[in-house]
Amino acid sequence: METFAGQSTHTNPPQEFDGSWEKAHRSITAVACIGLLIIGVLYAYAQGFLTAVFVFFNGMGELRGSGGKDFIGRLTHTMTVLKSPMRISVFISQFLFMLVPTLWIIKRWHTTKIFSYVRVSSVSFLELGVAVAAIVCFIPVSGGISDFLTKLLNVPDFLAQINAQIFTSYSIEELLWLVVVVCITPALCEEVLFRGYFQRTLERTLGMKSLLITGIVFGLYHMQPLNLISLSLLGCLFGYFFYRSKSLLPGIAAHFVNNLLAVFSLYKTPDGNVIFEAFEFEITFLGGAAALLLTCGLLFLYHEITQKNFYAA
Amino acid sequence: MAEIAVSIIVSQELQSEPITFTDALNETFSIKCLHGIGQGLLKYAALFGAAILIGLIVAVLGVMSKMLMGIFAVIAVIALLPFLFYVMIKWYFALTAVAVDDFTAFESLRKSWQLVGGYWWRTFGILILLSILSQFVISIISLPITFGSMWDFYKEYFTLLGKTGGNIDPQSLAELQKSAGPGIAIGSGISALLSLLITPVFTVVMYYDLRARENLGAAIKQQPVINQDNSSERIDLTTL
Repeated sequence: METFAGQSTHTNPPQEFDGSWEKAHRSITAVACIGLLIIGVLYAYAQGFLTAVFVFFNGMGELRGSGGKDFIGRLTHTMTVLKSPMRISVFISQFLFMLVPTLWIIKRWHTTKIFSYVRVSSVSFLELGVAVAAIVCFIPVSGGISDFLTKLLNVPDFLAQINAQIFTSYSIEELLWLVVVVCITPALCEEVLFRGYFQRTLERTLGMKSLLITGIVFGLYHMQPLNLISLSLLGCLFGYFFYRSKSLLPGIAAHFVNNLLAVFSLYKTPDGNVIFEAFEFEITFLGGAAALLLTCGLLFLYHEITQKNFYAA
Repeated sequence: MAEIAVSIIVSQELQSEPITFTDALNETFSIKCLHGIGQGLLKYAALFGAAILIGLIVAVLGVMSKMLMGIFAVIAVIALLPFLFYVMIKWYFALTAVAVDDFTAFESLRKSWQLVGGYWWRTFGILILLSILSQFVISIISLPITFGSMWDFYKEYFTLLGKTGGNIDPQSLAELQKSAGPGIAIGSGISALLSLLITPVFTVVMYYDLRARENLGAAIKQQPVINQDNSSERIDLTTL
């Protein structure tokens, strides 16, 4: 129980919560929002600034160069020049301006036992496997929603392809770099911030509602209106894994696999042909519905196998 | 008026005495409403008055010498802008003083000036920081709403883009832009509404903080010095 003024009316927090905010008995819901907000702003501005710096020092000359006179040529050229600085800035800023501040806030405001707070705890392979399987089954659903909205809006194919340039790789070295930037980095940094800190902190006062709120905030934070629904649903799934298992690992694994499959689906030969053709499929309504049913089944299974951990916690 | 109502709600919540929005509105449309308008008029009359006065002096000087006018205009602008900025921050809490403490128009300006007192830079820094934070929240929330309200515009734009391979002729683009108006208006409206809800929240919290600092400062001044060796028992003003 807490008041708007931020003075918790509950008794002393558990002893392991020895941070300044906890000791002052201030609002737990407020601290979650303030922490997320500070890190969100810091990350957004820092990433933009770093990209501008990298473009200025590395790509300015190339950016000025022509990409042809037509619109598509110029846009493709701009994206080709920008993608490398953007990848580097995302990589650096996710660690420096998202992960580090999150850990710092937890240490200063909540507890010195950071890893215990964000729930870095082991889980069974079965739990990990089911979480990953559920995400794999959910990809046609989330992809289907985004594709449906993209088609509904008549977004031209060339624009979608140019937009996907940042995730597209044309060599094994580029693919490995993308795995680091797009798969490992967000799986670690975003999960620690959104699930390990925000949801974990909200969970203390809001219980299961925290899962839904974090999922929606996760979708909003990406600032991609066409992907808002699918990203929010994905966020809710990661949150569910975190909530049920009381561990960060299933969410990290699921997030990693989700992004990995997206990167693999955009791994192309230099002349633009997709290498893993298995990922190139049209999502039909029936296929999406079947995938959704399968996901629900796997979530039920996940619910069952996490009963022990959930109630023990 | 909405800002006064939200300030009243936040203030009551801070005192753990919640109030309904209807009651807050009723309270707003009392004498507070007139005081709120009054402080606004006084504030902007003073700020614009200073600017107009400088303008008049520049104009008079212009009659005498154009060079003198130019030099004075540059000096006046350089001196006036920081001054206006300084005064704006000093009077920032006037409306909150009307909403929270029932001050009259004149009193609220005086109270705000007094509260900001020696904390000008601190207040300025916090306001900048909170503005950045609130703008981030507003943009995150309003982006999908604005996008949704401009759906038809984007659909037409992308259709045209697809048909022409990206080379849309400027006239078609200009025609298309005319249809974006309502969507932009909805987006701007949502942003303004969110700003109206968020800004009074942190303004009231800051007002309470400044008021507490003022009271604490007065209490420390009045307290007789009992034990000089007790210097380690200082009052910690830091909030975190």
